[in-house]
Amino acid sequence: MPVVNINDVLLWIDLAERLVQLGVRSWAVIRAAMEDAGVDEATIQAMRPKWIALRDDVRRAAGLDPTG
Amino acid sequence: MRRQTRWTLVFCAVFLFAYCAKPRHTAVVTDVALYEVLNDLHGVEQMALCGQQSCAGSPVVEFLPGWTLAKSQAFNTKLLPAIDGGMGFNDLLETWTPGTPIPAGLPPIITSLADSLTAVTQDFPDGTTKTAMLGYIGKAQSLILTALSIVLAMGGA
Repeated sequence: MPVVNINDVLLWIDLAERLVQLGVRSWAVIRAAMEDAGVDEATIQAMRPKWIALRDDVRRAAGLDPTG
Repeated sequence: MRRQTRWTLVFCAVFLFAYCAKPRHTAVVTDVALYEVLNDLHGVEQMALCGQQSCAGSPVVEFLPGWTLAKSQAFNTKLLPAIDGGMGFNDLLETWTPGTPIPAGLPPIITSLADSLTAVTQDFPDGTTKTAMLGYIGKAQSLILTALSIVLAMGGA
């Protein structure tokens, strides 16, 4: 079954822990740092091929040209 | 990781970010969770047809008695606008610069997603599989509400 990409989650946790070790203890600050570090952009980019693959399979299952 | 644990993780993340994070960041988390739930919904339907997550290259065996190829195709035809809406949502996030007003394209995408999910289970036979599907649809609709809350919070249409 499809799963949440646990590696991404672990990456986020690792980043948060490193920031805490550096003395940044506010979650709001950590979150802002994660956003500024481009986590959102990387997530959006990573999701695009997944959406395309899902769309292609649903199109095939609907009897349409998968890549149309 | 067990399915329930995964969903607990996803929804904790959604609600945490919905109440604490910037709107665009909330939308990114929603995008990921929406993909997961629509992918699961499609996978459950394909399981009913051929016993696998995707029936590409697999013989149709009507794993769920009475769930024919024609019914499967009709189901996926109805599901397709939701998938296109999800893809459109992802595309929109790429062009949405943090801190700027919400893109005009978001409200129609939300409407398309909601309409598709309403239509998708109408022909599905009652039983365990339909119950599972309704669960996924409930989760998807919760995510759509999260996206809608972003629109309302930012004064969108």
